[in-house]
Amino acid sequence: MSILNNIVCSAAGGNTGIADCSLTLKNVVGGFLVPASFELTEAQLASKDAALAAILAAVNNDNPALRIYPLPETVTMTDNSEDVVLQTFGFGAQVPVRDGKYNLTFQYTKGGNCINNALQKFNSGNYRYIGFDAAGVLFGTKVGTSLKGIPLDYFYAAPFKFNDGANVALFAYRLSFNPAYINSGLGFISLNVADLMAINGLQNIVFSLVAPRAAGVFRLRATTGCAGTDLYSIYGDELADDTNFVVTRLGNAVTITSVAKDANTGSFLFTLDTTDPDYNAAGPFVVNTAAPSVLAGNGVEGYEGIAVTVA
Amino acid sequence: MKPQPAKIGFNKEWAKKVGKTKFLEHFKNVYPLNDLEAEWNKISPPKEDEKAIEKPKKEK
Repeated sequence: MSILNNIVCSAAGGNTGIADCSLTLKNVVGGFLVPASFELTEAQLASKDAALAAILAAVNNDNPALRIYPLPETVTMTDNSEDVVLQTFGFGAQVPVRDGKYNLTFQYTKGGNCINNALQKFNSGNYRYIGFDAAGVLFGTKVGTSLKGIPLDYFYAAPFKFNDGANVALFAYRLSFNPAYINSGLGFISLNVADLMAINGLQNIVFSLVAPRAAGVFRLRATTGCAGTDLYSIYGDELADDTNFVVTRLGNAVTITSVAKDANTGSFLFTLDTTDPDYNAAGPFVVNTAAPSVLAGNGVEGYEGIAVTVA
Repeated sequence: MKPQPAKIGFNKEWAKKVGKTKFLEHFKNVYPLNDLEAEWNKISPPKEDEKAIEKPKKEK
């Protein structure tokens, strides 16, 4: 039979018998911003362990474009969702035109301004959302046999509001999306909420030059991006390894011959191969960490460097 | 005076590629207080016959 000009009438209603148990989402306590390509596949959804491992791997993905980004733990939610949109006719009849959009604002306190600044970088992006509730139900959109992120009309991390003496400084992000994605399109899995809440995003490593470079020798101090924690005292031994770093000049790699802990300055001393064809005494050199997986392999887990230029 | 670094992570791959002489020359001014010969031996342990040459057995 041809499907040309064939109108398919929806089944009238659905069976309404109530099962022994059903899904009712509890308060949403966390979530992830995920790229459109991200999915938890059927194989990854075969068990809770496999799903959690896939999420952790995605959080630590070396490629920022494929990485998923944990959102801070939320402390409250404000629901500004639209009501159903109705058209009222001349004789008083009303007909639903469309469902209202979800507009949800989640407030958080942990991470403060630093996390807020990081989240604001997603404001103009095309990321999707996967949330989880207080019972560990991770929810998104079911696509085939996969769980994917909910397409968003927008993600918006607002500028913070000041502490007014009665309320703490307000940090919040807002999501807007079509209800179809988590009503008829809902996809969910049940995980341990503590496991989900324990997932931490990568932290930045920021470098600062301790003294001017002398030929192929220079010293860098390494601190965390948000708190400014000195990593020399925490990961000094682990970071003193040439494989943790990449030095380039004009985009070409320059061989690092050693990285040493300099106890005198609490920094890392770098030496370069001055006979490397890509070395030039004039510089400048761009220094960064290797990929997060390399750092993790050397015992520095959960970090990614921000490149610094050494003149 | 240059202090002795608490720990040095040598690029072993590079060191083996350039050899002992260049290794010692490259680092002698950077890590003057370190025993670079010993560091080289950690990177490229001397072979048994080399050890024998370095430490000849005493004749009874």
